[in-house]
Amino acid sequence: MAVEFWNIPDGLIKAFYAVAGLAVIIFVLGFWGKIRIWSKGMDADQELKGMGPVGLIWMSIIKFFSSDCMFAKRVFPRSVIRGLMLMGIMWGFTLLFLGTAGRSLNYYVVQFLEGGIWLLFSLILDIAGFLLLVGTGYGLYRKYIGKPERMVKSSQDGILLVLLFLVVISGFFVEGIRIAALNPPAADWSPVGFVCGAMIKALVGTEALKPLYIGIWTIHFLFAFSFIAYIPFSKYEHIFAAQISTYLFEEKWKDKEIPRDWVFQEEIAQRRQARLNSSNQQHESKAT
Amino acid sequence: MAEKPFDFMEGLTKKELIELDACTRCNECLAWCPVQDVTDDPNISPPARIHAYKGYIEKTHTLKGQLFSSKKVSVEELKEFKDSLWKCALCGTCGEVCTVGIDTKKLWWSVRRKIAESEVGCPEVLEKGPLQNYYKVRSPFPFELVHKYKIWFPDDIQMADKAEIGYYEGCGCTWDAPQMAEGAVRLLNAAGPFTMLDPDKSWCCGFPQAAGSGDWSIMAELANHMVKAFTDKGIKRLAISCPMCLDIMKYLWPYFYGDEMPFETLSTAELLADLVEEGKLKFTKRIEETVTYHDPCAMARPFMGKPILDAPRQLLNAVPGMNLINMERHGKLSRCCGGSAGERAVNSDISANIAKELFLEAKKTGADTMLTNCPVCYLNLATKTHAAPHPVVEEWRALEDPLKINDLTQYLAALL
Repeated sequence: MAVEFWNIPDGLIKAFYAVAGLAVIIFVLGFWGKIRIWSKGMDADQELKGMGPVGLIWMSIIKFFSSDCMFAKRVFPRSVIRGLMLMGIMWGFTLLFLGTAGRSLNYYVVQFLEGGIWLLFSLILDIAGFLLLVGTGYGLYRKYIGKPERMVKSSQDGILLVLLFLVVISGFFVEGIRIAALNPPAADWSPVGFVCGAMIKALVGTEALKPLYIGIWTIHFLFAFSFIAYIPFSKYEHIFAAQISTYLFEEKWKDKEIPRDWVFQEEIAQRRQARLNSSNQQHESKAT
Repeated sequence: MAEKPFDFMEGLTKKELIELDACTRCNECLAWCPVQDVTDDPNISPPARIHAYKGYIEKTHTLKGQLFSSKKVSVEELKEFKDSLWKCALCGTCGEVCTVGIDTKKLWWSVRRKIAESEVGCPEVLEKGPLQNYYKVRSPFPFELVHKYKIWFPDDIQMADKAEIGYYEGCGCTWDAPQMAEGAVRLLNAAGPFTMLDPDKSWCCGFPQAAGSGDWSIMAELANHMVKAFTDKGIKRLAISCPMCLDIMKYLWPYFYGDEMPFETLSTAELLADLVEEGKLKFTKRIEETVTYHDPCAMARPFMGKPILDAPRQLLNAVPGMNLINMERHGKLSRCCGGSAGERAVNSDISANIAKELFLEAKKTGADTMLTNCPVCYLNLATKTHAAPHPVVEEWRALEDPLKINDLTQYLAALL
């Protein structure tokens, strides 16, 4: 079963909640700022017509889980390996996000992560973490070693990737040390964590596991919450926007003879009416 | 009272604002961008422009911007951004390959309009030239419209006063690529009666205004005038040689006219392909030649319309003996000629070097001739008119065994 806050002093748990609260506030403020900007845009596209912030958030969520987005439809034709990298990051990130939400639910609301469910849950999250690790690892490799011939240099992009990589790897270390120290039954259902734990134990010995755990756990949560707070202010805001732009581009011509944007239907109707009125008036004045 | 800062967001659509946040800086577009091919400067690349413009909006519309940055974008910064924006040929390849589907072609168009409204305005060469000319002669070129057909309309062809088939060449064809217009009317004439507007009534489609200055105030007047003029000629199907005109007339005019067009609008290649299929047009001469067809950006990746890729190929395949081969990059991913959307006028060095890249790619196919079907491509690749060719263009045209460059309709007209 899940072990929350094992070996963590009370003071640090309080700090954890404080940092988490602060990160969420910063995230929400930044995210809301973005959505508010989108909603102030001109209404030209039928799909987005009249949508306020809530509608746009909903669309972002729905389109995130579309097959075009989840299977990186527009990336694979350009590069299979980058498509796999993106899928690794996206699937890993999503599963870990949902898993963390599930663990919170289990801890604060209703305990359901027990027995077989817990084992399967552990395995899935381990695989998710591994996918995310490989994805971000390849991202770092591409950025710094196998560089594309042309690229926009941005230190922010590098910081973000490193941060995400460190969040995942420190997460595996935390899990591994806990497994190594507690030696729980069926630990092999968390294979990556299990291997990490065995390696760390061999390196530092059993005595150092507990203090090391506190240090790495602290680093892990600081990295994780820094990342969350930074999302809406960084290029990672694309995780809310890219699925909508992909959808609009892919659906541009579906069942349409003319593109969906630039179709200011109401204005066209108004202009048509104005033209007809003017033509009728001219006709009437000629008739009289 | 402090001056209100310029609002970079006003007038942008929801989609465009979302697109600004969607860029992942994956750098895919840089690998395809023709401007990058010849400048190798990532600071003028699509992701850099998106990042910069997003920053301008954030300055005035987010808490972070209000707290941590000056609200005003400096004139120097804006001028630099404008230069970057006009170094782009609006070819749209970046949008086609964008891994998150950012419709960059339309985004740059909107951003250009916004920047034109700001204190840095349009590039002077356009502002004082083509954009001003419109107000004087209803055309981006400074010449009186009454002379429009004199330089190219063949003496041996008689157009009908009224006909179901109409033809509009576009100002660019008349003044920069008259061979295109001549070829088109010879082909149309061979298939049956056709008509055109009286030259003084044949105004500009509005593309330079719509894409350049942002002055949309003239569009309604223009669309209404032109639609009435075409309708008065009894036109049911209108063939348009310039693909930029086609895009504007087919998709933007209905908005200003306030209704669907009362006639069908097609590219000349599409109408001719239909006429071939209907058996009204036949190429009788046999030609043993290998040709490659360059898909112009405005046909492969139009601002608004659907790509027109098949019709030119259908026409060429109808010619006996002809061997048509594609370049490595063709169709929706075709290279840009470097001439469009003011590139040639504003950044002639970049424009000429992009043209050279396209020429070299066409050479690789081993074809005898490269055909295209856009006045801008034709002008930039095969300059034979009043505009002076760039030294780079002269250099590659002087190569031994040069690749012949021609317009599709001019080429086909010789095979009737």
